[in-house]
Amino acid sequence: MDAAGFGDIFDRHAGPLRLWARQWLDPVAAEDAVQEAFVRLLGQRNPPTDAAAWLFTVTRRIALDQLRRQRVRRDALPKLVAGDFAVPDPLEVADTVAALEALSDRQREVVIARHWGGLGFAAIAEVCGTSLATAHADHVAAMTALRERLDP
Amino acid sequence: MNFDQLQPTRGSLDPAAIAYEAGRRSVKRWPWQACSGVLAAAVVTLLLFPRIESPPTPQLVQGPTPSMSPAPLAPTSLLALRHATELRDSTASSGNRPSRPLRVGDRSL
Repeated sequence: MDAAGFGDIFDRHAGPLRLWARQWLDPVAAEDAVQEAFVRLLGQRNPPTDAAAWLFTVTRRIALDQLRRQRVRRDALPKLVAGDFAVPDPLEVADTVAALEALSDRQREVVIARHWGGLGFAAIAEVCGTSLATAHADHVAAMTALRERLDP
Repeated sequence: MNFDQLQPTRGSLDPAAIAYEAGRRSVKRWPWQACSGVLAAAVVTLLLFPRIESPPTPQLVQGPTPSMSPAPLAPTSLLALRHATELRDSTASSGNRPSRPLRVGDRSL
């Protein structure tokens, strides 16, 4: 993979991947996990055809492995915070973060992968280890919950 | 609700640091890859040529060849040799020469 190709992938996916990893890890550990995924991508002899899906899969695996090693309980996972987003209106961010936190783990994964990661449903199903139908259903349920919360 | 306005931050993620780390690991991994390549080549060679015939090693010859060594003396010949030696010594000391062959237990001696 050449420098230009890597720069493009990094620019598009670094932020979403960091948010993706923040579902399970604190900010420092999340950045470490994303960095590790990018390093592994550069170490691939044959770069994956879908780099985004590959990066989301590897980042998720690294994050969950780290959780397993640290034996962190699901209810003790770090929360998303407004600082995970860069927007001019902090209030809107706070509402969005609260709404995302209110989703189930699987629904939140699907929303982040779909809207910020730009992954298709087939890729999301593969990344999250679910079926295509389940990924789609989770997305519909998540968006309904978010609308009810953010656009009452 | 417009997610497009919400862009996730990158935090302190740095593409240069990532590229550096990837390069460092590739250099670190290289010796092992080289070793594994040599090992694989050795295994393939052994599989293709399971028995490599070695040239016959020359055998060291110790001492004279059998044709040059004197033939071992039979016990009877040893007895005859000792007898002849004793006879010569006794003849030399007495100055006489025996007129007939001496035998063991000869009373004339």
